Amino acid sequence: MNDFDFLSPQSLNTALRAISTKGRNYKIIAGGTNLVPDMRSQSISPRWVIDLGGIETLRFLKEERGLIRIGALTTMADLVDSKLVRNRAPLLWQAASRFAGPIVRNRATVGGNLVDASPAADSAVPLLALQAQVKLQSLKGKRTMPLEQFFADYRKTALRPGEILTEIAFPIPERTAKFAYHKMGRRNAMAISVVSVGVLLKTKGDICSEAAIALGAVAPTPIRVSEAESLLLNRKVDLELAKKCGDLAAKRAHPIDDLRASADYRRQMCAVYVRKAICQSVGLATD
Amino acid sequence: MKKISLRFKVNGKEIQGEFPTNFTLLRTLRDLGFTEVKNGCEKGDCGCCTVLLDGLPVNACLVLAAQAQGRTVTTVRGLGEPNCLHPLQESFIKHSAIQCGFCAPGMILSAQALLKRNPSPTRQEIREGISGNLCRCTGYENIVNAIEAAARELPKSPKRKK
Repeated sequence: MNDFDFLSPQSLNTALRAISTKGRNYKIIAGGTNLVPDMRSQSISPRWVIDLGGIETLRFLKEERGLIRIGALTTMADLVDSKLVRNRAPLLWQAASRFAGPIVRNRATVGGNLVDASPAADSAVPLLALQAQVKLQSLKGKRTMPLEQFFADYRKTALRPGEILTEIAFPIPERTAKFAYHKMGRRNAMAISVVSVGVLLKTKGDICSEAAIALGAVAPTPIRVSEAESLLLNRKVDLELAKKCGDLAAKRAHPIDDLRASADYRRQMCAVYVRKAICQSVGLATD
Repeated sequence: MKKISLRFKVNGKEIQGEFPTNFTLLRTLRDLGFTEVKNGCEKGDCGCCTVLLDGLPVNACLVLAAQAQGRTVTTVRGLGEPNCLHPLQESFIKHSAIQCGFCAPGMILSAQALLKRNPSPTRQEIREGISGNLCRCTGYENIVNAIEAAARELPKSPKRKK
């Protein structure tokens, strides 16, 4: 690990002031579960490391005016322990429960997982499907944007130098919303996703009235598959339609070959898991 | 080398000194003589370096020492005393859950955290509870047996520590 100065501001304002003068030569650390290995392998070598761990005001989970609001420092373990998330956003709860392993979940934060912007970021898939917005703050002010826009490219975000991701918020889905989450990895614990899928549907009778389908690990960033979503709208969800959506999702995916899986395999699994997730969400047999 | 002045507690002992900013908690603990914290993969995959940070199990290789400022660290040595072992430590010995021993410190701390949250876990819940800890001897069966037995023991044990 390279040499760096370590700062641990105790308030958001102190943190914003500290980073405002450091150009691009700093890195923010929260749980450190991604940053520390990246620094050890010297894939990043910041001159300053700024620890947000002391800023308690960034760690919260609450329901407010139809939204679930999550402070950026909320850990994956906090999500798993939260009754609010378990009852009102079970899609996110399921993903959090499958996130890495129980020890890592005690440190890994939601904000960190999103800012790291790995294509396989496991909290991004349910949050994209839940149409989450992120709040960014700098000394110049605040801005809010859809999570989809926040992911700019492979491990790149819309964050500007001097900005900190402070909060993630999404509208609470209706209790009747249908959902399913699948994560396929090489093993259950500590696996980096080969493919992950989150589906959230609203239906009137058999007919789909709203659809969100999000995918992880099959493109440079986590993505939504609007083509497959529109195909579902105003139609009766059946196996045939779910298969078509799976095929569309596979077409939309542009995965890579890596040591976990080939691009071709990922594309095929994308079709399979999107079909499965749609069927499962509405209680249909999956093949 | 840039240094930072740190103060934290390990197994009840006050630690104070100047430490390099780029040292992990794992490296720092081992340098301080807490070699029961094992160095495995150094990227959070194996769980050998598990310690309790303010009571919660974390991978010491993923925490910067500087992030332990003012906090409390517990290693497997802090769980019991040599002549008065923690029930989990006793149970690991009794059930031959220790083969080479390298994963045991982390396993025991993960098990301790699990039993604190869930005092009577099913075997499946035990497996999930230790899923962040790898045993290269693949001795999982006895490890699960040991934790299951300790869970039965713990509520009636007067020596139970936090």
